[in-house]
Amino acid sequence: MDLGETEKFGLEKRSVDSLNCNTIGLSTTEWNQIGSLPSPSTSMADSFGHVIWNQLPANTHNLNFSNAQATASSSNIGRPVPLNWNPSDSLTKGGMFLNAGPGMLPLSLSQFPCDVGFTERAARFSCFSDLAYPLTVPGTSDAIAEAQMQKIEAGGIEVLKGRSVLIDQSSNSGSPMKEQREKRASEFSEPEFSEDARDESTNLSKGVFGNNEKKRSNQYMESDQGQASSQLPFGPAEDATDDKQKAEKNSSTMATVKSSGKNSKDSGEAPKEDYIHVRARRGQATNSHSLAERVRREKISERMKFLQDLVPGCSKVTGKAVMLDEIINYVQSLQRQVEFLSMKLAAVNPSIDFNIEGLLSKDLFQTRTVSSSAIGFTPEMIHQQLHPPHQDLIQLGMPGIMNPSDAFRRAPNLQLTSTSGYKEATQQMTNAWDDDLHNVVQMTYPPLKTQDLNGAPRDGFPL
Amino acid sequence: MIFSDSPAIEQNGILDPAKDRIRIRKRGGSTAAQLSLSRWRTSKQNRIYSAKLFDALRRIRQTDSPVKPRSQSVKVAADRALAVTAGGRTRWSNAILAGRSIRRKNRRIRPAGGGERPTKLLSAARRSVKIPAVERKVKFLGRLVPGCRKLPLPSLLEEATDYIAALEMQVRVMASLAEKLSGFAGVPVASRPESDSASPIPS
Repeated sequence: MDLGETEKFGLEKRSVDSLNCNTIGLSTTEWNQIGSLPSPSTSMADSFGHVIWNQLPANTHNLNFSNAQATASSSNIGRPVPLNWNPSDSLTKGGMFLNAGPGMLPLSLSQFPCDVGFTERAARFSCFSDLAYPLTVPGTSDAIAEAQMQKIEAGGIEVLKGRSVLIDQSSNSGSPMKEQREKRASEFSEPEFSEDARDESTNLSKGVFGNNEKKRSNQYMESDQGQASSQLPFGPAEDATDDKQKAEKNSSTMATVKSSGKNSKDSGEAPKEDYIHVRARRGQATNSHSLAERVRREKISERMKFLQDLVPGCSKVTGKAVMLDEIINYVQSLQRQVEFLSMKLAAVNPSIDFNIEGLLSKDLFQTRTVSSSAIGFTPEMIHQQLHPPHQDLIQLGMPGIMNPSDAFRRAPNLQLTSTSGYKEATQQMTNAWDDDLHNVVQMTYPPLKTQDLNGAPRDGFPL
Repeated sequence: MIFSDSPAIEQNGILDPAKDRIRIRKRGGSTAAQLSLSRWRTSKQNRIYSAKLFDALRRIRQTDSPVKPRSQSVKVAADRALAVTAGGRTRWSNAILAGRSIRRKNRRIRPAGGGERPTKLLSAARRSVKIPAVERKVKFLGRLVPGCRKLPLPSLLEEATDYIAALEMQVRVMASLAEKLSGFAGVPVASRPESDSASPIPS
């Protein structure tokens, strides 16, 4: 019983030491990554590892050599793999020691499903380490490496034990773990590149004035990427294309805004042109006004002339005011005459009906006289003119046979023209009368007529 | 002799239509004012006006109203006959034809007591304002010609020209009618008042 307790305490100490060794191992692996070694030495390291693990308490010289081999094997495996592997291995070892493993095989067999879970967790931790890599500074890494070497030298045997354990576990489960880790690394690497590409495209599209928009777009892209990564692997790419389209739309809207601005400027310029046009119109208006004023003056002067002709006593008047006075006086006098005559007509006796009939008959007579006066002949002249044709007819009838026939022919023509009553007929009558007068004048000369008459019977007698 | 007469007649016949055509063209070229003046001086217008005046006087005789004096009714009838003869083509004729209704409306609108004071005040205000001589005379002429109070000068002169010609015809016709009626009535010349014989009536 006492020996069992002492063994238990020893195992606990060893587990604690192994944890410390794991932390030191992480730092050493980093150091190894910085100074990478060639890969062919992996097989040698594995073989020496087994030997050393079997002969741990015996040889110190072998321990130093095994350290060098371990570092080589870790570098050969790959950067994230040993970091992920070390803590799980240490935990499993702790479990073994605590359980007081009399049999090695069943524990090793039971480790495989546990290793899978631990590997997943290690992958997550490796994500953090990957994220941390670009943030590291080369000076700081060198300092860390030196500290690790110092610890190793101080630690001695305990550190060596941890190293050997790590190597063995990695050699046991190398191939499937490596493949899984590589896939995960490739998956995580793709979105990073896509993000970078998106950022560059957005920067180019937006230009200098889009800083705030860039920041917002980055935030939205990160959230979209998270959702897409949880749902589909190709989601972020689609989001990137959408963002590009949005950027193009924004640029098109900016172009439309600029074009609308130009249109607004053009519309602003249009009223200026209208204003200029209005000035031209003003000039034209002045010209038309002057023309209208001129026309008005001409009308006034023309009508004043008519009034001068119409109003008695205004023919010699020149001033406008004086002429208006004369016109006013004349109109007033005419109106007074109308009033006087209306009073006179009102004072007539009641026998107006009979008087009107008589007046109508007289009016008819006056119309005849007016018509004759219009033609230019007075009644006396008409009577005087009517007498000569009768005398002419009588005289013509006396001398011979041919002349009376001509006279009779002329007489009905004259009567027809007189009865027609038209102006043309009256003019023809006047012409006829003139001809008759000429004939009378010719007949008044007796020697000519007697000679003609004497000549005519002589010609008749010989026949 | 016979042959010599016929070409003279033909020549005269050819020339006369040409003269008439020339005259017609000249008449066609005259202005509106000249046409209006010539219209009032034609015998046709005289006959039309005299006939309408006869009818009006006959109606007045038949419908002898005691309210209005006969002379006033005769004057109104004469003016209306003149406006009808004008044919409503001028502003003054339309104003005369519409004058009775306008006067009645004015009487109805303005009460006797309330209407007098504003008119007095308005007349006083108008007297205080001084107007140039020509403008004042133009306004006075506008009041003499019916319906032409607010017309511009060119239109007023045109209306005045037509109105003066119409008044001359009216005076001529009324004078002739008065002489005829007095002759048929058998009124002796010696019994007529001196103002009748002394009145200067233009022929």
